[in-house]
Parts: sequence; C-alpha cells; structure tokens
Amino acid sequence: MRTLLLLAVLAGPTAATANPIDSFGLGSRGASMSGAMAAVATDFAANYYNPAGLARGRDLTLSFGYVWADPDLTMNGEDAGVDSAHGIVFGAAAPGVAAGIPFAFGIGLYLPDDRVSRVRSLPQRTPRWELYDNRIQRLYLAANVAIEPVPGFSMGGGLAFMSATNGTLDVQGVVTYPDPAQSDLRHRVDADLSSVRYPQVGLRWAPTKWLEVGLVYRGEFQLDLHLDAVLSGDLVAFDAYTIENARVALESTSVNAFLPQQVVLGVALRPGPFLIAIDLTWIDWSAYRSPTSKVDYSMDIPIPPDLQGSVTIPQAPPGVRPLDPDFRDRVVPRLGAEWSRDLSSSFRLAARAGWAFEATPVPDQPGETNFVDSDRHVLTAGIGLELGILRAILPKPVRVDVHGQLFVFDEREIEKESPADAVGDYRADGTITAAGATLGAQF
Amino acid sequence: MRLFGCTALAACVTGCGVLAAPADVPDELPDARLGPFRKLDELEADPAPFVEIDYAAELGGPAVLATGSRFELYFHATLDAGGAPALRLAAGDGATAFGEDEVILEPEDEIGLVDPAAIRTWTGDDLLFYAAATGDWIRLARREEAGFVPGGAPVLERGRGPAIGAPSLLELDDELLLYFERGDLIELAVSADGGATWAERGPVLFPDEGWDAGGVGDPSAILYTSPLGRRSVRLYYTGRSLDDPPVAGIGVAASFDGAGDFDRLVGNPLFDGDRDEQAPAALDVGGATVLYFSQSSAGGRPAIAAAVAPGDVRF
Repeated sequence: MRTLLLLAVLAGPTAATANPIDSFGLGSRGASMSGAMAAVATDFAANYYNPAGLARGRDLTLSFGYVWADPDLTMNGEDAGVDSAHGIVFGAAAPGVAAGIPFAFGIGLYLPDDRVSRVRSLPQRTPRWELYDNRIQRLYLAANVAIEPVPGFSMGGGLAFMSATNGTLDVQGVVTYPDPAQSDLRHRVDADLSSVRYPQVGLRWAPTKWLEVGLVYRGEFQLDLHLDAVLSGDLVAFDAYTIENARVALESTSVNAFLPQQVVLGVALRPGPFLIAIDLTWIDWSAYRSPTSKVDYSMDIPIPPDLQGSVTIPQAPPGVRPLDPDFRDRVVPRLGAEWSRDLSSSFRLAARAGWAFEATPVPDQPGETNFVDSDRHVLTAGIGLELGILRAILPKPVRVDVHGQLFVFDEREIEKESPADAVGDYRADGTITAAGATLGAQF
Repeated sequence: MRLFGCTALAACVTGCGVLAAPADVPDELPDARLGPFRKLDELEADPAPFVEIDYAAELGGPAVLATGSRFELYFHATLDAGGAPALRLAAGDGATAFGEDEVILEPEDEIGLVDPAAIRTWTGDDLLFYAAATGDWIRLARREEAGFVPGGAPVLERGRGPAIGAPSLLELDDELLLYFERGDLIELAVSADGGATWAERGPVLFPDEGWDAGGVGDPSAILYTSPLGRRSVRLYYTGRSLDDPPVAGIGVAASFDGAGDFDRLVGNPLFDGDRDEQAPAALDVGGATVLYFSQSSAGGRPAIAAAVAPGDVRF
C-alpha cells in the first residue's frame, strides 16, 4: 500500500515546486519564521518545506491565502524594473491510516494573479537582477505523499512541475551591408513551455517531544527553450532583379527558470511555549546555467547566373555564445522562533519571528555579463490565531496567520575591467517587502 | 512574396534597420554612454545637420565648448574651392541649437587653419588650439575681450616626422593633456604649467585590425567619471580602413589614466559609414554624451551633425 501510494504520486500528472516559494515561502507561518521549517512543517506548507511532515498531521486541513511581494531593487539609484509578485496560496493535507500506518497526501499551490509564468531572455550585456527577474514570476504546484512507518519517524516525497506560457520572438538590431560582420542583433524571447518535473523528498525524525530533525532534498529543475525562426522566399531588387528561394534562419537555445538542487537540514527545539528552528540549506548554484540564448544564424541566398558578379550576398552575422555565469554554491542559514499560548479555551495566540542570510551566489561581474545580485538579510515576523468561535460550524479551530518580510540587499559595487565597457561601473542595492495571510480550517 | 522579397532584400542587402527596444526593459539601466549613438533628427536639432553652409567647399573639424548655459561650436570652413580654411564659431544656449557662425581666426600667411579645440581651464582662461592645414604645427590662442589672440611659438611642431594636427585638450589633475594626430597615430603631450611648455609622451592609440587598420586620427578626449567615482579618459577618433580609397568611421577607446592602454569599444565603429562620418567632438551633457562630427549632408555637401548616447535620451 505504501509503495502504491508513493508510485501514484511519482507517476501522476503533477507535483511541483518553484522559485517564488524559494524566495518568499509557502504559507504565512513558514514565511514569518524565515522558512526555517524543515523539521516542523506539518500542514500544507510541508509540501514545500518537507513532504515528510505531512504524515504528522492528524486532521484534514484546507488552507487559503494571499501573498504579495514588492521589489524595490535599484541600479545606480534607479528602479531596475523588477516586477512585483503576488498571488493566491492554496493547499491541503489529508492524513489517513492504511494497514495501521499513518500516511498523508498533500498539495500546495501558488497561483500568481498577474501572470502564470514568464520567460525572458535578455542580451548577455543587459544588467538584470538575475535571481528576481524571471524567477519569482512562476506558478508553483506540488503534490506529495508521506508515511510514518514508525512513531516519530516519517518520510515523504513528490514532484514539482512547470506551467506552460505563450511566447513570441522579437529580433532587434542592425544588419549592415556590405560588412554584415558589424551587424548588431539582439533578441527578446517569450515562448511556450512544456511541463518539466523534478523530485523532492524528505525525512523527519522526532526522537523526543522537544526535538525534531528534518532532512530534505529538492531536485534540479530547468527549462530548455529552443526556438527556430526561418525567413524564406524570393528577394526582389528594384523590380528588376529576383533571387528565388532565399532562406535566412535563426536558431536560439536558452535555459530559463533554472532551479539548482538543494539539501536542507533542519533542527527544531521546543522549550516550554517556545519553538526554535534552525535550517541550513545547501544550494548547488555552481550548476547554474546562463539564461542568455545561444544563437546561430544561417543564410542561403542563391545568386542567379545573370546576377553573378553584380550582387554580393553578405555573410551571416556571428552567433551568440553565452558565457559561463560561474555562480558559487551557498549554504543559507535560517532561524525561526515561535511563542504560542492559549489565552482562552477558544483562542490561541502565536507570535513568530525569523532571520536568514543569503550570501549571493553571483560572482563579481568585471566583464561582459551583468548578472546583478548581492548579499541579503531577511527579517520576518508574524502572528497566528487559532479561533474556536466557529465551532457551531466547524468543530475544529480556524487558524489565521499573517506575516511580513523585509529583504535588505547590501549595496554592491560592480567595477568593470575595461574602461571601454559599454555598461560601465554601477552599484546595486534595494529591498523587497512582502506580506501575506493564510486562513486554515481543520476537519 | 514579392513584397516580402523587397523587404528582406532591403534589410539584408541595402540597408540597416533599428527596431524599438523591448517595452518591458527599463530605460534607466546602467549605461556608460559610450555608444551606440543615435543621430539627432530635425525635430531635436534646428537646423539639422547643425552647420551646413551652402557655399562652403570644405567644412569640418568640429569642437565644442560648454560654459554654463552657453554652448560654442568651433569648426573650420573654406568658402572657395582651393582656398585656405579659417576657424569659425557658432554659439547657442543649448547643445542642439547654434546661431549664425562667424570667423574667429583667419588664415595666417595664407596657411589655412583647421581642427580647432577649445578648453576653459580651472583658472577661467579660454584656450583655443588649432593646427595648420599643412600639418606643420599646432598653435594656441587665448580669448581676450577682442577675441582670440594667437600666441607666439607653436605648441608643437612637425619636425621631420609625419604631419601633425587635430588637437584635443583635457584638463586632468592640474595638467593639460593634448591629444593630437601624428601620421596614422594618436599621440599625447602634457603641460604642467597651463600650456606654456609641453612634454611629448608619444603614441597612445595605434591602428588596429579591421575597420581602423589604416590609421587613427582626429582625437576628441573627454573625462568620464563612473557612478563609483572612477575616472577614465575617453578618446573618440576617426579610423580609416586599408581600402583604396580608405573608408572612414568613428570609434571610441578609453583608458583609466589617459596616458596609454586605451581599450576600444567592442561596438566600434559607432556609425555605419553611409554618410562618411568622421572628425568627432564629444561633449558630456548631464547624463548623456553628445557627439558632433563631420558628415556629408543629404545633398552631398559637407556638414556637421550630432548624435547622442544613450540613444533613448531626447532633446
């Protein structure tokens, strides 16, 4: 039965995870504790933080919420144009018992209410806040199953997948004659994407009532985007000369929405009314692939015999080869704390706070690339209420959680090696503010 | 299909086309203002090109001096074919609008004067450097109430080497840097006493491979300070190809100390060359660089035009 359940999820049409959740968390409780939840998440948020936590739940829970994040990221003091991210959060955790073994099934969803997904491939030189440009513009959907084969020890796993999006290809630039090698072509890509799945698994161990340990693995994820553009037909000059069956082709390959694999180790302590959780997340940023498109051009313009010698066809412009972004692996510490107390028989209050430090994986940018990022501190806070006032309708308490987050990016100065760099020196800094609320009901 | 063919041929064979920037990429992204440049059109510059004297046989060597709200455009012009060029000045209150021009220095002993370069020093003196059309010397004039008054001895002389000319001035750390053309190279001379004496430092920019393999000249130096406070000297110049006759274009190179190790912009040349653009004069105007240069006008006559970088800056 356990095997069947696990296979049912792994082979199913969905299971998910995605980048906005990496940045802003899933659910207000986790977000207000800076995401230090690998050892303690038990509700729908466990679909992201640790699927094994689903098996610790004892009630069917449905959660619904909204999250909003507003980047104020700048370059040289000017708004860098990073779009805000906001959307609906939904999730469910459904526990049960099969053959005497507790199990649970869960889904977690973040549905942006602006765009479901975005793919944008900028020229290599264009400065962009690399980790917040496309990365937070994503739908997130995860489905997981978990079991607790022995008391205090659970395991879970599932899949994540990516949504599709509509696309266009815009080519801009200058094509020169008679020296096409001087051509300057730039392109911008919005494209349809097919679904891609990646795994996530977790373990959770609670040897005592005051100690819990979680271990999570999230797989690597990327979208390979391949576009071909072909221009073919007859070329007519001055209504006097015709070149038939000419063909100009462009082939573009890029990687978008790259999510590196991650390993999370979490430990939680429960001294009295407090909960203190610490997560360490290793992120394999060194595997990061440049989102810049690899572009090849080709032209086949046959010259008719009567125009031989009088018409010169330029060579195809040189292709574009993305440079290795050379990101560095990082370990991200997250610290979260929660204090909770029953204030009455139908009212329980929880206060939460958290801190995380994310050292940037992006190296200095002295050359042609301009991936912008900097170290950031993440400060979080929130409160949670468990209300029994609706017992006439719902037998179990209703939970309301709210949270706020502040990302403070250290100022980073980018100095170029060449004084003739077209972008030149610049500085980057900024903040991101995020807030949200989650309403949960137990049945 | 024929319509497609005409369009494709126009793009691939005969012309160049610039399409709009993506709508959702912000305009305020970091830009060192080195290029690419967008030529100003008639809606921004009146008249455009700025200087086009119908009866001028030769017109070129522009230089610009901005002092407060006053902009002065210097150039040389020859009114009669075969005549000796004189130095002229047109002034205005904006970087894109100049009034009637006037002669400021006539030929000396029938030797034409070309390639003016003006600078206001930190002491408030206006200095005008210019070259002999023969390539024999570079001289200095100072602005006085009556106008520019030439100095005595030449600042630099040709000697036995190649012709010299096209001076460009820059004030850096209490020194005057004089970039000038000698043969197919750009060289540097330095004065630590306000232009009284000069020490030659030798070549700073050589011909390269490709479009400027035949020679470099017509330097125009400006000082740029990055948002991080790092200074660099930018040298706009004319490059000439090895073709016969040579094809001219405008490029830019930059150096942190101004004395050597000039790196060229990857996007050189700055224009496609269909108007024979050359002899640049650069001016830093707030958040933009304006480039004045010689080009042939629509009627084929010599003219002075201008372009701006970043290209999204409007006047």
